[in-house]
Amino acid sequence: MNLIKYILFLVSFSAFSQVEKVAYPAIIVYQVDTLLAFTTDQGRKLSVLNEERKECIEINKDLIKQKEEYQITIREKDKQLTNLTKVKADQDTIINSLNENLSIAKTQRDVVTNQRNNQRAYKWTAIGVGSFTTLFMSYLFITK
Amino acid sequence: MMLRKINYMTAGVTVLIMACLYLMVKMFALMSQNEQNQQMTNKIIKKIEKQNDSIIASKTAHIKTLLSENQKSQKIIDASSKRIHQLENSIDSIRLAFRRRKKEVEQLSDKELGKYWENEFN
Repeated sequence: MNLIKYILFLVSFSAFSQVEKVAYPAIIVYQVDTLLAFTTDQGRKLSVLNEERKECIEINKDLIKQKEEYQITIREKDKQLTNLTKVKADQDTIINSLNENLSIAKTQRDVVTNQRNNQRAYKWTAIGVGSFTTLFMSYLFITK
Repeated sequence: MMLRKINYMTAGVTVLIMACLYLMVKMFALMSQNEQNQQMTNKIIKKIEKQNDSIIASKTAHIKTLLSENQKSQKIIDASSKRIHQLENSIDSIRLAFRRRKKEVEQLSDKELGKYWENEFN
């Protein structure tokens, strides 16, 4: 008889401890409302998570703005790069033109130098021929 | 005999003078032609130089425009970098503020927690 009492006690105790171990969050029907119940510790954790969510939303807004700014920077840098490529091409053209001008100037200088040398040669030839003719005519005049 | 010799010499000198005259005339003709060629060459050279100078001037102006565009772009980039820096600072301050807020929320009493959630849903 005592054994039966003891067994009943154990069963009722285990049933009581099961009631104590209700896991939260739990759904509770209170009057006409169905409630989702959390413990206060869980509530605190949820509020921290909620604050983290808010933080993420705020940071996300700024990150979207930053992304836009980076896109602007990239676009402008690309523009600069294109312009610098064009500048390089223009400078190459200028260098070619200047080289052409330089080569023309060199050719002109060569032509002028050549002309000067020819004029010198003509001058000395004329002096030689003139002197020879004068001397010869003088000789003829004297020996006549 | 002497007279004959002189006559030969005179003839020789005459031929020489004629040859000289011929060469001089030819030289003057060639010089004239050379001068004409030179004038033509100078004209062509001046034309090429003018063309090159015009190319150089236009390209220099183009380079100036491109560099001025680059300067404008640089200003935009600088302004953008400034804004990026400000946003970074803003993100840091947000993080700092929420770190404080999270600590506060962790330490809320039961009553304050209730109010907190009440505020969140209203």
